[in-house]
Amino acid sequence: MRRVLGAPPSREAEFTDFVEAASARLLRAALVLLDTREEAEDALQLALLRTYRRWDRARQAPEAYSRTVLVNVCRERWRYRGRHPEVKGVVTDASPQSVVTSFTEAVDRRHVLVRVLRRLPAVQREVLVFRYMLDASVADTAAALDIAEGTVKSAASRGLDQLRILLSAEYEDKKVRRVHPR
Amino acid sequence: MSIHADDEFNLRLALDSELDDVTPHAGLADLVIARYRKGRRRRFARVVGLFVVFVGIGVPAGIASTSGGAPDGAAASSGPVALRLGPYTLTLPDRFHLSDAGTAPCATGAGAARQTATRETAAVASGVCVLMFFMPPASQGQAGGMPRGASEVTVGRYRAWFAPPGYVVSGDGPVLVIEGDGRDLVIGASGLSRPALTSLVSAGLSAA
Repeated sequence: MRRVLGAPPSREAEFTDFVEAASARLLRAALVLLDTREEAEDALQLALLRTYRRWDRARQAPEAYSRTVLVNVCRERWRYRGRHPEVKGVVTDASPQSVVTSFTEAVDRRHVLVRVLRRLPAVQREVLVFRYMLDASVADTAAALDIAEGTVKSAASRGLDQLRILLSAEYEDKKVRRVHPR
Repeated sequence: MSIHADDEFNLRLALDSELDDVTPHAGLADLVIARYRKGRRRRFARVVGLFVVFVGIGVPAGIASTSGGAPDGAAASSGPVALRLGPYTLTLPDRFHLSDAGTAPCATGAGAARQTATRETAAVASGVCVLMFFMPPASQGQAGGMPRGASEVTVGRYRAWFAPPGYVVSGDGPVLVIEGDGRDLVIGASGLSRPALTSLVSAGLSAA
Protein backbone atom coordinates (compact mmCIF):
# COMPACT_ATOMS: atom_id res chain seq x y z
CA MET A 1 0.00 0.00 0.00
CA ARG A 2 1.39 3.38 -1.01
CA ARG A 3 1.63 6.01 1.66
CA VAL A 4 2.13 9.75 1.38
CA LEU A 5 5.50 10.65 2.86
CA GLY A 6 5.21 12.50 6.15
CA ALA A 7 1.53 11.65 6.62
CA PRO A 8 0.55 9.50 9.61
CA PRO A 9 -0.17 5.91 8.62
CA SER A 10 -3.84 5.30 8.06
CA ARG A 11 -5.77 2.49 9.67
CA GLU A 12 -5.66 0.51 6.43
CA ALA A 13 -1.96 1.09 5.88
CA GLU A 14 -1.15 0.00 9.43
CA PHE A 15 -3.25 -3.10 9.05
CA THR A 16 -1.70 -3.96 5.68
CA ASP A 17 1.78 -3.65 7.14
CA PHE A 18 0.80 -5.89 10.02
CA VAL A 19 -0.73 -8.53 7.73
CA GLU A 20 2.37 -8.58 5.53
CA ALA A 21 4.58 -9.09 8.56
CA ALA A 22 2.52 -11.59 10.54
CA SER A 23 0.19 -13.49 8.22
CA ALA A 24 2.64 -16.23 7.22
CA ARG A 25 3.34 -17.15 10.84
CA LEU A 26 -0.35 -17.06 11.70
CA LEU A 27 -1.23 -19.24 8.72
CA ARG A 28 1.35 -21.84 9.72
CA ALA A 29 -0.04 -21.85 13.24
CA ALA A 30 -3.57 -22.29 11.89
CA LEU A 31 -2.34 -25.13 9.68
CA VAL A 32 -1.11 -26.99 12.76
CA LEU A 33 -4.26 -26.25 14.76
CA LEU A 34 -6.67 -27.27 11.99
CA ASP A 35 -6.78 -30.14 9.53
CA THR A 36 -6.39 -28.71 6.06
CA ARG A 37 -4.85 -25.77 4.27
CA GLU A 38 -8.31 -24.49 3.24
CA GLU A 39 -9.53 -24.49 6.82
CA ALA A 40 -6.37 -22.75 7.96
CA GLU A 41 -6.73 -20.03 5.33
CA ASP A 42 -10.40 -19.50 6.20
CA ALA A 43 -9.57 -19.29 9.89
CA LEU A 44 -6.76 -16.84 9.23
CA GLN A 45 -8.99 -14.61 7.13
CA LEU A 46 -11.69 -14.61 9.79
CA ALA A 47 -9.17 -13.90 12.54
CA LEU A 48 -7.72 -10.98 10.59
CA LEU A 49 -11.22 -9.68 9.86
CA ARG A 50 -12.08 -9.71 13.56
CA THR A 51 -8.77 -8.05 14.33
CA TYR A 52 -9.44 -5.31 11.78
CA ARG A 53 -12.93 -4.71 13.17
CA ARG A 54 -11.33 -3.92 16.55
CA TRP A 55 -8.20 -2.36 15.11
CA ASP A 56 -8.38 0.68 17.37
CA ARG A 57 -7.90 -1.66 20.32
CA ALA A 58 -5.77 -4.27 18.54
CA ARG A 59 -3.21 -1.81 17.15
CA GLN A 60 -1.50 -1.58 20.57
CA ALA A 61 -0.38 -5.22 20.27
CA PRO A 62 -1.74 -6.59 16.99
CA GLU A 63 0.24 -9.87 17.09
CA ALA A 64 -0.97 -10.80 20.56
CA TYR A 65 -4.53 -9.77 19.69
CA SER A 66 -4.64 -11.65 16.39
CA ARG A 67 -3.14 -14.88 17.73
CA THR A 68 -5.71 -14.91 20.55
CA VAL A 69 -8.46 -14.37 17.99
CA LEU A 70 -6.97 -17.09 15.78
CA VAL A 71 -6.96 -19.70 18.52
CA ASN A 72 -10.57 -18.77 19.34
CA VAL A 73 -11.56 -19.19 15.69
CA CYS A 74 -9.85 -22.60 15.63
CA ARG A 75 -11.65 -23.65 18.80
CA GLU A 76 -14.95 -22.56 17.22
CA ARG A 77 -14.16 -24.84 14.26
CA TRP A 78 -13.42 -27.78 16.52
CA ARG A 79 -16.66 -27.25 18.40
CA TYR A 80 -18.58 -26.91 15.12
CA ARG A 81 -17.04 -30.12 13.83
CA GLY A 82 -17.93 -31.83 17.11
CA ARG A 83 -21.56 -30.83 16.65
CA HIS A 84 -21.62 -31.54 12.88
CA PRO A 85 -19.44 -34.56 12.20
CA GLU A 86 -20.97 -34.87 8.73
CA VAL A 87 -19.42 -31.53 7.65
CA LYS A 88 -15.92 -33.00 7.58
CA GLY A 89 -16.68 -34.87 4.38
CA VAL A 90 -18.68 -32.12 2.76
CA VAL A 91 -16.82 -32.38 -0.55
CA THR A 92 -17.99 -35.46 -2.39
CA ASP A 93 -15.66 -37.55 -4.49
CA ALA A 94 -17.68 -36.78 -7.59
CA SER A 95 -17.21 -33.03 -7.37
CA PRO A 96 -14.40 -31.36 -9.32
CA GLN A 97 -12.98 -29.96 -6.07
CA SER A 98 -12.29 -33.45 -4.74
CA VAL A 99 -9.16 -33.63 -6.86
CA VAL A 100 -7.88 -30.39 -5.38
CA THR A 101 -8.77 -31.57 -1.88
CA SER A 102 -6.91 -34.77 -2.43
CA PHE A 103 -3.93 -32.87 -3.78
CA THR A 104 -4.00 -30.58 -0.75
CA GLU A 105 -4.15 -33.59 1.52
CA ALA A 106 -1.25 -35.06 -0.34
CA VAL A 107 0.77 -31.89 0.18
CA ASP A 108 -0.24 -31.86 3.84
CA ARG A 109 1.02 -35.39 4.27
CA ARG A 110 4.47 -34.15 3.34
CA HIS A 111 4.46 -32.11 6.54
CA VAL A 112 5.47 -34.85 8.93
CA LEU A 113 6.00 -32.58 11.91
CA VAL A 114 2.66 -30.86 11.40
CA ARG A 115 0.90 -34.18 11.12
CA VAL A 116 2.51 -35.41 14.34
CA LEU A 117 1.67 -32.17 16.12
CA ARG A 118 -1.98 -32.59 15.14
CA ARG A 119 -2.03 -35.89 17.02
CA LEU A 120 -1.22 -34.19 20.31
CA PRO A 121 -3.97 -33.28 22.78
CA ALA A 122 -5.51 -29.86 22.10
CA VAL A 123 -3.92 -28.02 25.06
CA GLN A 124 -0.43 -29.33 24.31
CA ARG A 125 -0.82 -28.52 20.65
CA GLU A 126 -2.00 -24.97 21.36
CA VAL A 127 0.80 -24.37 23.85
CA LEU A 128 3.47 -25.65 21.44
CA VAL A 129 2.05 -23.52 18.65
CA PHE A 130 2.03 -20.42 20.82
CA ARG A 131 5.46 -20.99 22.33
CA TYR A 132 7.39 -22.27 19.32
CA MET A 133 5.56 -20.98 16.27
CA LEU A 134 4.14 -17.66 17.41
CA ASP A 135 7.01 -16.85 19.78
CA ALA A 136 4.67 -16.04 22.64
CA SER A 137 6.02 -15.91 26.19
CA VAL A 138 4.70 -18.20 28.91
CA ALA A 139 2.66 -15.33 30.35
CA ASP A 140 1.23 -14.33 26.95
CA THR A 141 0.38 -17.96 26.16
CA ALA A 142 -1.35 -18.38 29.50
CA ALA A 143 -3.35 -15.18 28.97
CA ALA A 144 -4.32 -16.04 25.39
CA LEU A 145 -5.35 -19.62 26.16
CA ASP A 146 -6.92 -18.69 29.49
CA ILE A 147 -4.90 -21.22 31.46
CA ALA A 148 -2.38 -20.96 34.32
CA GLU A 149 1.29 -20.33 33.59
CA GLY A 150 2.14 -23.62 35.33
CA THR A 151 -0.21 -25.40 32.93
CA VAL A 152 1.60 -23.77 30.01
CA LYS A 153 4.97 -25.02 31.24
CA SER A 154 3.77 -28.54 31.96
CA ALA A 155 1.83 -28.76 28.68
CA ALA A 156 4.89 -27.58 26.75
CA SER A 157 7.14 -30.12 28.46
CA ARG A 158 4.72 -33.01 28.00
CA GLY A 159 3.96 -31.92 24.45
CA LEU A 160 7.66 -31.95 23.52
CA ASP A 161 8.13 -35.37 25.13
CA GLN A 162 5.11 -36.71 23.29
CA LEU A 163 6.38 -35.17 20.06
CA ARG A 164 9.74 -36.92 20.44
CA ILE A 165 8.00 -40.26 20.98
CA LEU A 166 5.68 -39.82 18.00
CA LEU A 167 8.48 -38.62 15.72
CA SER A 168 10.64 -41.53 16.82
CA ALA A 169 7.85 -43.95 15.89
CA GLU A 170 7.37 -42.14 12.59
CA TYR A 171 11.10 -42.33 11.86
CA GLU A 172 11.32 -46.02 12.73
CA ASP A 173 8.29 -46.74 10.57
CA LYS A 174 9.92 -45.00 7.61
CA LYS A 175 13.16 -46.92 8.12
CA VAL A 176 11.25 -50.21 8.18
CA ARG A 177 9.36 -49.21 5.01
CA ARG A 178 12.58 -48.28 3.25
CA VAL A 179 14.21 -51.64 4.09
CA HIS A 180 11.06 -53.69 3.42
CA PRO A 181 8.98 -51.83 0.87
CA ARG A 182 5.36 -53.01 0.92
CA MET B 1 13.24 -35.02 7.49
CA SER B 2 16.29 -34.38 9.62
CA ILE B 3 14.68 -34.58 13.06
CA HIS B 4 15.62 -37.57 15.15
CA ALA B 5 13.55 -38.38 18.20
CA ASP B 6 16.58 -38.76 20.44
CA ASP B 7 18.17 -35.50 19.31
CA GLU B 8 17.88 -32.29 21.21
CA PHE B 9 16.02 -30.59 18.42
CA ASN B 10 14.84 -27.13 18.05
CA LEU B 11 11.17 -27.37 17.33
CA ARG B 12 10.97 -23.79 16.16
CA LEU B 13 13.65 -24.27 13.50
CA ALA B 14 12.19 -27.57 12.44
CA LEU B 15 8.73 -26.09 11.98
CA ASP B 16 10.15 -23.10 10.11
CA SER B 17 12.01 -25.31 7.71
CA GLU B 18 9.08 -27.67 7.21
CA LEU B 19 6.52 -24.94 6.63
CA ASP B 20 8.61 -22.42 4.74
CA ASP B 21 6.53 -23.09 1.62
CA VAL B 22 3.29 -22.24 3.43
CA THR B 23 2.60 -18.61 2.65
CA PRO B 24 -0.68 -16.72 2.53
CA HIS B 25 -2.18 -15.38 -0.67
CA ALA B 26 -0.86 -12.07 -1.95
CA GLY B 27 -3.25 -9.23 -1.22
CA LEU B 28 -4.67 -10.88 1.88
CA ALA B 29 -4.95 -7.54 3.69
CA ASP B 30 -6.91 -6.01 0.80
CA LEU B 31 -9.19 -9.03 0.78
CA VAL B 32 -9.85 -8.68 4.51
CA ILE B 33 -10.47 -4.93 4.21
CA ALA B 34 -12.87 -5.48 1.30
CA ARG B 35 -14.71 -8.13 3.30
CA TYR B 36 -14.90 -5.77 6.27
CA ARG B 37 -16.37 -2.99 4.11
CA LYS B 38 -18.90 -5.34 2.58
CA GLY B 39 -19.98 -6.48 6.04
CA ARG B 40 -20.19 -2.89 7.26
CA ARG B 41 -22.35 -1.91 4.28
CA ARG B 42 -24.62 -4.87 4.98
CA ARG B 43 -24.89 -3.95 8.68
CA PHE B 44 -25.63 -0.33 7.76
CA ALA B 45 -28.31 -1.42 5.29
CA ARG B 46 -29.83 -3.66 7.96
CA VAL B 47 -29.92 -0.80 10.48
CA VAL B 48 -31.48 1.56 7.91
CA GLY B 49 -33.99 -1.12 6.94
CA LEU B 50 -34.99 -1.64 10.57
CA PHE B 51 -35.25 2.12 11.06
CA VAL B 52 -37.49 2.46 8.01
CA VAL B 53 -39.69 -0.41 9.20
CA PHE B 54 -40.03 1.07 12.69
CA VAL B 55 -40.74 4.54 11.32
CA GLY B 56 -43.21 3.03 8.86
CA ILE B 57 -45.09 1.37 11.70
CA GLY B 58 -44.57 3.98 14.39
CA VAL B 59 -45.46 7.17 12.55
CA PRO B 60 -48.88 6.04 11.24
CA ALA B 61 -49.64 4.54 14.65
CA GLY B 62 -48.63 7.81 16.33
CA ILE B 63 -50.69 9.87 13.90
CA ALA B 64 -53.69 7.60 14.38
CA SER B 65 -53.48 7.85 18.14
CA THR B 66 -53.22 11.65 18.18
CA SER B 67 -55.46 12.66 15.28
CA GLY B 68 -58.66 14.56 16.03
CA GLY B 69 -57.33 16.19 19.19
CA ALA B 70 -59.93 15.99 21.87
CA PRO B 71 -61.33 19.32 23.03
CA ASP B 72 -62.03 19.76 26.72
CA GLY B 73 -59.41 17.13 27.47
CA ALA B 74 -61.32 14.21 26.07
CA ALA B 75 -58.92 11.37 25.47
CA ALA B 76 -58.68 9.97 21.98
CA SER B 77 -58.67 6.21 22.04
CA SER B 78 -60.21 3.25 20.32
CA GLY B 79 -63.73 2.31 21.43
CA PRO B 80 -66.67 4.64 21.97
CA VAL B 81 -66.00 8.35 21.49
CA ALA B 82 -67.05 10.73 24.26
CA LEU B 83 -68.15 14.16 23.09
CA ARG B 84 -68.04 16.34 26.20
CA LEU B 85 -69.45 19.80 26.71
CA GLY B 86 -69.89 21.23 30.18
CA PRO B 87 -71.78 18.71 32.30
CA TYR B 88 -73.00 16.80 29.24
CA THR B 89 -71.32 13.78 27.68
CA LEU B 90 -72.56 12.33 24.42
CA THR B 91 -71.10 8.87 23.90
CA LEU B 92 -70.88 8.04 20.20
CA PRO B 93 -70.04 4.76 18.44
CA ASP B 94 -66.34 4.11 17.76
CA ARG B 95 -66.68 4.92 14.06
CA PHE B 96 -66.75 8.59 15.12
CA HIS B 97 -63.66 10.57 15.94
CA LEU B 98 -63.38 13.95 17.59
CA SER B 99 -62.97 16.91 15.28
CA ASP B 100 -62.28 20.60 15.49
CA ALA B 101 -65.67 22.27 15.96
CA GLY B 102 -64.68 25.26 13.85
CA THR B 103 -63.92 23.18 10.78
CA ALA B 104 -66.41 20.33 11.16
CA PRO B 105 -68.63 19.90 8.07
CA CYS B 106 -71.83 20.42 10.08
CA ALA B 107 -70.54 23.74 11.50
CA THR B 108 -70.51 25.49 8.14
CA GLY B 109 -74.22 26.20 8.20
CA ALA B 110 -74.33 27.40 11.81
CA GLY B 111 -76.24 30.61 12.23
CA ALA B 112 -76.36 33.43 14.70
CA ALA B 113 -77.22 31.21 17.64
CA ARG B 114 -73.90 29.43 17.28
CA GLN B 115 -72.07 32.72 16.91
CA THR B 116 -72.78 33.42 20.55
CA ALA B 117 -71.61 30.00 21.68
CA THR B 118 -68.43 30.15 23.68
CA ARG B 119 -67.88 26.42 23.90
CA GLU B 120 -68.56 23.84 21.26
CA THR B 121 -67.37 20.41 20.26
CA ALA B 122 -67.83 18.13 17.28
CA ALA B 123 -67.30 14.58 16.09
CA VAL B 124 -67.35 13.15 12.61
CA ALA B 125 -67.69 9.77 10.99
CA SER B 126 -67.95 8.79 7.35
CA GLY B 127 -70.68 11.09 5.96
CA VAL B 128 -71.94 12.01 9.42
CA CYS B 129 -71.16 15.00 11.61
CA VAL B 130 -72.38 15.86 15.09
CA LEU B 131 -71.93 19.34 16.59
CA MET B 132 -72.74 20.35 20.18
CA PHE B 133 -72.87 23.86 21.64
CA PHE B 134 -74.83 25.88 24.19
CA MET B 135 -77.24 28.71 23.43
CA PRO B 136 -79.43 30.97 25.64
CA PRO B 137 -82.77 29.36 26.58
CA ALA B 138 -85.23 29.64 23.73
CA SER B 139 -88.20 29.27 26.07
CA GLN B 140 -87.78 32.83 27.32
CA GLY B 141 -90.61 34.83 25.80
CA GLN B 142 -91.79 31.90 23.65
CA ALA B 143 -95.31 30.51 23.79
CA GLY B 144 -95.24 26.96 25.27
CA GLY B 145 -91.50 27.22 25.80
CA MET B 146 -90.74 26.34 22.17
CA PRO B 147 -90.40 28.41 19.00
CA ARG B 148 -93.08 28.18 16.37
CA GLY B 149 -92.62 25.16 14.11
CA ALA B 150 -90.64 23.18 16.69
CA SER B 151 -91.64 19.60 17.42
CA GLU B 152 -91.29 18.33 20.96
CA VAL B 153 -89.58 15.02 21.59
CA THR B 154 -88.46 13.11 24.68
CA VAL B 155 -84.85 12.12 24.63
CA GLY B 156 -84.17 9.77 27.49
CA ARG B 157 -84.98 11.72 30.62
CA TYR B 158 -84.58 15.09 28.92
CA ARG B 159 -87.23 17.39 27.48
CA ALA B 160 -86.19 18.43 24.01
CA TRP B 161 -87.47 19.65 20.70
CA PHE B 162 -86.38 19.67 17.12
CA ALA B 163 -85.75 23.23 16.00
CA PRO B 164 -87.53 24.42 12.91
CA PRO B 165 -85.36 24.81 9.80
CA GLY B 166 -83.15 27.88 9.97
CA TYR B 167 -83.95 28.58 13.62
CA VAL B 168 -80.62 27.66 15.12
CA VAL B 169 -78.44 26.75 12.18
CA SER B 170 -78.90 27.49 8.54
CA GLY B 171 -78.17 23.91 7.40
CA ASP B 172 -80.87 21.37 6.63
CA GLY B 173 -79.80 18.65 9.09
CA PRO B 174 -81.85 17.94 12.22
CA VAL B 175 -81.12 20.15 15.22
CA LEU B 176 -82.08 18.86 18.65
CA VAL B 177 -82.35 21.33 21.52
CA ILE B 178 -82.13 19.92 25.06
CA GLU B 179 -83.59 22.33 27.57
CA GLY B 180 -81.37 23.05 30.52
CA ASP B 181 -81.14 25.45 33.43
CA GLY B 182 -80.02 28.84 32.17
CA ARG B 183 -78.84 27.47 28.80
CA ASP B 184 -79.97 24.98 26.21
CA LEU B 185 -77.78 22.28 24.72
CA VAL B 186 -77.94 22.24 20.94
CA ILE B 187 -77.02 19.04 19.10
CA GLY B 188 -76.92 19.55 15.35
CA ALA B 189 -76.20 16.79 12.89
CA SER B 190 -75.67 16.29 9.20
CA GLY B 191 -76.01 12.96 7.48
CA LEU B 192 -78.52 11.72 10.08
CA SER B 193 -82.30 11.63 10.10
CA ARG B 194 -84.32 12.94 13.05
CA PRO B 195 -85.08 9.41 14.38
CA ALA B 196 -81.45 8.43 14.03
CA LEU B 197 -80.31 11.53 15.92
CA THR B 198 -82.95 10.94 18.59
CA SER B 199 -81.85 7.37 19.16
CA LEU B 200 -78.17 8.39 19.13
CA VAL B 201 -78.74 11.06 21.76
CA SER B 202 -81.14 8.89 23.82
CA ALA B 203 -78.55 6.13 24.00
CA GLY B 204 -75.50 8.27 24.52
CA LEU B 205 -76.35 11.49 26.37
CA SER B 206 -75.64 11.77 30.04
CA ALA B 207 -75.16 14.70 32.37
CA ALA B 208 -72.88 14.93 35.35
